[in-house]
Amino acid sequence: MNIIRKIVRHSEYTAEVVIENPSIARSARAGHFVMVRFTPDCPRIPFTIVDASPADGTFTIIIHKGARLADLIGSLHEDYRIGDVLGPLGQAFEIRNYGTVVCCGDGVGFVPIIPVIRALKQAGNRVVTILSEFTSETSCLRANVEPYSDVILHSSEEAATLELMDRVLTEEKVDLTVMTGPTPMMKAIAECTRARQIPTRCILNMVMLDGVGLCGICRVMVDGKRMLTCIDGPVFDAHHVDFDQLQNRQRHFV
Amino acid sequence: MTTIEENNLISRDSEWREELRKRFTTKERTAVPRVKMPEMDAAYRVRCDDEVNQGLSTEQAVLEARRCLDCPDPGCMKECPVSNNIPAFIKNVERRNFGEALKVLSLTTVLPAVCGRVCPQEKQCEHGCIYNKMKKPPVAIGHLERFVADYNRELDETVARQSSAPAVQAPSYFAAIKIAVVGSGPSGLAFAGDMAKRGYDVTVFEALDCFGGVLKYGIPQFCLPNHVVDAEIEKLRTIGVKFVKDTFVGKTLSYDDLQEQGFKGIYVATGAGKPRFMGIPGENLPGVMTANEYLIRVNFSQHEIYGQNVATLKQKRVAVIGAGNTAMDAVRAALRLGAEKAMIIYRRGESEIPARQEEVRHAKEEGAEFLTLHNPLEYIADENGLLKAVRLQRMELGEPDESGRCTPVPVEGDIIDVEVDLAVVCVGFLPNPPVSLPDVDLSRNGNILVDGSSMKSSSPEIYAGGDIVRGAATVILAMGDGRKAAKSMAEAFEEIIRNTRLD
Repeated sequence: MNIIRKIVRHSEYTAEVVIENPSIARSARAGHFVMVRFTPDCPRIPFTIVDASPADGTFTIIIHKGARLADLIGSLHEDYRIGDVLGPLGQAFEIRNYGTVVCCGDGVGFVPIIPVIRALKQAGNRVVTILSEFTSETSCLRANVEPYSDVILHSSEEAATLELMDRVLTEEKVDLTVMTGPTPMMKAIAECTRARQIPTRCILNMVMLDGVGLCGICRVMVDGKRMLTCIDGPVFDAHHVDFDQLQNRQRHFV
Repeated sequence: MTTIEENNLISRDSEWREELRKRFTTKERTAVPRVKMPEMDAAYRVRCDDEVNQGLSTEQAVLEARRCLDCPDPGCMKECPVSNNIPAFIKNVERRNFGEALKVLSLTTVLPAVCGRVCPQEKQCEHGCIYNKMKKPPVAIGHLERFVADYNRELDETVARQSSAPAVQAPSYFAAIKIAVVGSGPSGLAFAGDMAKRGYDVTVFEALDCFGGVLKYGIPQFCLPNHVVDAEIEKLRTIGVKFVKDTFVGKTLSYDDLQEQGFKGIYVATGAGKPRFMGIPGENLPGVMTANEYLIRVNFSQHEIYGQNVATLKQKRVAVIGAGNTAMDAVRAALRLGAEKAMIIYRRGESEIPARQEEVRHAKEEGAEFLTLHNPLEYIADENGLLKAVRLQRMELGEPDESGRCTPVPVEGDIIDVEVDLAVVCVGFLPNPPVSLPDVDLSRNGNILVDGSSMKSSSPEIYAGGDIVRGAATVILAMGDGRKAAKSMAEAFEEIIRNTRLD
């Protein structure tokens, strides 16, 4: 249980980690996450379940959170036993054939959308992926979505993401937009798709202490109701999320 | 234990009890003043995490036990939610038979060290004590319960478990019956203990990485040290209860999985830990925390990354909204983290404060301020979007409501802003949303609906109790539910086995 079966380091800050845990592997769906505490001294950190193999009893996470975890990533190795892994948590993304789906994310915050892209493609959707960064650090992200995207667009600046999105929405009939990444970007895209009346989901990436609905740090107002990202999310209707409030909270929280 | 032994232990008519009663007159007994719990000095304790109450010495406990009049119709027992045989354990303390005293308690409770610390005794057992009728302070039942549990635990620890072999259960028909408990808080532990004693094969599933539920993540160490909870859990392990962490039943394992794995009975005790808000403007500002966020950060503050929030926690001015036990825990934790000013903001008056009296007194001694008859209207942000102040409406007490408490009513136009750096909202909890429970009826609030006497839900194999049924209540009531559920579930299995054998 909770043994690292494989670890691929893409950079000092980025690693793909395959963890053995048959119960989680069996129940995981796109959109679910796990709370991981590597050692008793570590905090509990939420990670998106990027992939799962019920047959092997394993699932994959991508540690991609910046320098804070660099030391930790360095200390992990194959056969390493992780202290605690809890999951799968959260509500799964509703996967079906929507038609054409645009999936959009920022390089750093892109991880949560990877399993959704794959599942949407497997459900028969035409998937247009917009990846806002393309560096050596994010190449693994691209490799994870490339086989499941009909089109991949990438840009170097945040503003350009919005431009790309606008262009796609003008050029073809889009049935659903899914996005994840920094809150200002999500807010801008939500405004853009709202004007065009295209249903839009956002996948929020929030700080959590327990992941099971106790601490309330991940609270967010959706359609005037207070929701918890850990139990009600992490997927929400972007047109009803109060991004301003979210941004204000995120500015002050680790 | 045989029935005869048990009878000798608890019967008021046993020889030793009668002799003990004759040893002192009622006048001599009532002349003894109530024991005072040794406490750490307020100025010192507020700088550390050490437990405030130091526990009674043996002599203090024996003397306090002498005060108990061993009433023929004891009022204390009637007020105890788990019907502890209070006079029987106290009289065993008086005759210095502390091991037997624990045996008496163990007949009805699995968590005496916890209950002795966190029960609201003044509303329960001590409220029913005969001394109240004599206008004297009641027997310190809570302190004695804690003494008995601590004395025996420490003895166990020093003797290093000489008789380390756990009490072997007589092989029973029930050992083949697997029972799952969802949640390792007080209710789940009480249920697990009772079922294990009856010989069932019990497994407790816990979502978090430590056992004890609210006893661990909620109640701070200075009220209830973690090692006390761990010792109680260890005791359950020795009678055969299995504990599985990091397992969220309904997510990691489904209820169908449990049935597939052969669990024949399920007790759901997932608690009420979902934070409640007042629904006033500004509650989502950075600087406004839920009780759980604050206490979890405090209880796990040794972790480095939470330490990054030390700046957030070591606030200079902390307002705690509410006056229940959780609020007292939060305000006292704030003082320990170095708050310059820590205050309780409560909409009713001082005499309506629902927290345990001892906690209120401790909080005051440690320097907490009490701003009663004030109700938050709004949280106000500074130009950076951070909490700056809380706007309060002054209240006055109106007519008593059905519960006998006076309803607070706003004093028109009397509104003040109090500058604060951190507000901790402690206005109650909602049930943790039960996940994918099959065929179980829930109330509008999300509580599991059960039959009050059997704790049975609408699904035949599933029983439930504790805060998931009651909403936020107390440790002892949660335990009481666990014991009730164990009794009725065991009776249901016995019935089945009887019928099978007749066939």
